Amino acid sequence: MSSSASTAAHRRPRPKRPATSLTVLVLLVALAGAGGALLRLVVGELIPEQGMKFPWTTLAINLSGSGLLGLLIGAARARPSTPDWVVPTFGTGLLASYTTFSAVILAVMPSMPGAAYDGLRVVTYVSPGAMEMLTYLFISVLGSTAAAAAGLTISRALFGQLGAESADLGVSSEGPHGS
Amino acid sequence: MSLRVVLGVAAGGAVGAVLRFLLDRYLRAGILLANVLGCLVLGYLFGELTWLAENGGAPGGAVLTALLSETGSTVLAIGTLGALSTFATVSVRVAQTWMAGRQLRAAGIWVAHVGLGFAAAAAGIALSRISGLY
Repeated sequence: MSSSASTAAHRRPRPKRPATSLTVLVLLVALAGAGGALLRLVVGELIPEQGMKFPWTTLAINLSGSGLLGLLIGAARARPSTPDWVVPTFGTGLLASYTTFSAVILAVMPSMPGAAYDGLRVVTYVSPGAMEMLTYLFISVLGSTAAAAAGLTISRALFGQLGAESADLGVSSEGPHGS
Repeated sequence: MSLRVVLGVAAGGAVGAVLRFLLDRYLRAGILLANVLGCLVLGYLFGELTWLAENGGAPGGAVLTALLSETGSTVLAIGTLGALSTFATVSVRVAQTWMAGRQLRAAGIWVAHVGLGFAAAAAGIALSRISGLY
């Protein structure tokens, strides 16, 4: 739709992009998801968890991935001009696939013996105590959330804040001109 | 790390990511479901592999044999289930909710994911014990 003539000369009207089709989004998410899983595989190869008391590699992946996703989401929030395929591709596809939840839960399951299968390069650990594993889980959850919050905050500081603070806030931001 | 594993993990990651994308797009608790599903299947896989490691013997059908092979289990665990389940998305949503002043709800999100994740993983392990697919 064409906007009415803007009196403010410094504000260029943004050309409206056509929405990306679901098919294209799915293809982008598939490609980026493959990349994210491969990245996690490679990091796991470089820092193998076999013999570690705790799955530190998984923790490092989840911390870094959460921080980067916070940066990305914060930036996309602050800039409404962000194309609609950016967050699905780099967020949902790449970073969310790079981090993982199931391996963390299986690692802290008390009934799981360590190294269930020599060939399985998932989390293996040396039969830790339940308290230790709960501590590890706590560090994962709090650390990743803090990293995400830091990412969101840094992005907001860098890109400025336009619009509502959070998706959970259905609050409309006050426009510069009254009705 | 063989080329088969690399290609398999890439393909598996694509499948897991797309499944999570669609769940998140069409369901309110899509990410929670993705994480719970990931824990359930990974629990089942671990249970099967543990049983095989302890008792030896070949699994039943050709499909199961392939899935429980070294390559198959790596593709499934690291590729599909690793990409289907996510930590970053939950972290960011909890952080946003917390920063929006809804601390209790934020904590509740993590409690739901961890609690249901544990339950699903335990259910998956139990399923592998009673499935009798050998």
